[in-house]
Amino acid sequence: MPRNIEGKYQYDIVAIVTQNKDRILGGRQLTLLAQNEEEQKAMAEEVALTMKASVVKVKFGDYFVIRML
Amino acid sequence: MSSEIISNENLVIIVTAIIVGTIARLTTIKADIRQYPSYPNGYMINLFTGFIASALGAVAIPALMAKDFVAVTFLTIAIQQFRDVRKSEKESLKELEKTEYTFRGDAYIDGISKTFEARNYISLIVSLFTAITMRIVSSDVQLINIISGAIAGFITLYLLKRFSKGKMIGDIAQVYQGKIEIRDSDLYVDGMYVTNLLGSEHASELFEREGLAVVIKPNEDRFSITLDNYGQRQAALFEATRALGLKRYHFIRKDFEKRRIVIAMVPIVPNIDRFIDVVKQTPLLESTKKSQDVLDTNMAGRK
Repeated sequence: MPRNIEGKYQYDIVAIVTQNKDRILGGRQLTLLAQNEEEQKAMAEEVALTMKASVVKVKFGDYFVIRML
Repeated sequence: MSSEIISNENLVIIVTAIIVGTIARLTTIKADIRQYPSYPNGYMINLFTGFIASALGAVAIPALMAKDFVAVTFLTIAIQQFRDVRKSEKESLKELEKTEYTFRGDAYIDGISKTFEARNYISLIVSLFTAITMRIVSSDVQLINIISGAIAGFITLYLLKRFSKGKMIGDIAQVYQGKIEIRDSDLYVDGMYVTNLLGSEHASELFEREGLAVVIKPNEDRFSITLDNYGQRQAALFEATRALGLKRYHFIRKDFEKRRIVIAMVPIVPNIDRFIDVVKQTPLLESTKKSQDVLDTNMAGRK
């Protein structure tokens, strides 16, 4: 994983895109509810492109949009 | 009145020593694929500080011969001046950090600025030895003095260059192309996990289509101590991105089991040979050298 200019790992979770509304528990990041995987992928990609961030697909199916600070 | 004017003999010594010392600095300025110092202004600045350094070395002997022992203490000014060269290089490079594709890192900046300081000392020592030789020879024929001084100066330059020449990653490790593989959103290079940041189709397609990776495998296990150092890896990544440009994504990953290091990125110019070359030519940083073999100088020839 890349480090920032001070040599530290500093990430910001910009958004979480999930299909399970029970996982929407709040927090600082934007959490989006998608109807299906296609929509989930498209949402994550759109947010990532807009925010110049990267997408991580986690093992339990959600997409995290994260950006290095 | 005439005693106040510098003698012709001393003038020849000073001018010859300054010229040889400045040539010494000229030959130690490298504008290679690493492109530092930048041409032509960086080149000019360093050449001029080399000229000042050689002037300080050149006038030391005539000053001593005139029994002006106090005047020799200005060599301490030279040391101060060279320290300022190091300091200004460091500041300048640090200010540029945020404008580069990736950052050099403090270890690399420290190494570069130390090298700049050391090369000014080379100019000073070369001109000093040129002047000493000319004074020892002291032939009635000035040309003989000049030639012997220049020969002594260039021999000194050759020896100092060999002594101060550092090693490169290519001297202690194999660098070869790594096979890129994308499994779901994970990036693997030669079967080694690198990152899971390729979650979007755009990212994985881009990396599959245009991504390049190299693997650094140390020749001996103990060289990993040097290569695994964060500053050293950052320097290799920096050189790679500067040579090839960076479109998107850059990763460095260590594999402790097989003692490998992977550098992966999406470059602007997808040239794997250049990528391998530039990583091989990345200097081993003084601050990261922990092995005796790596610390050895090239005085007696490159191994």
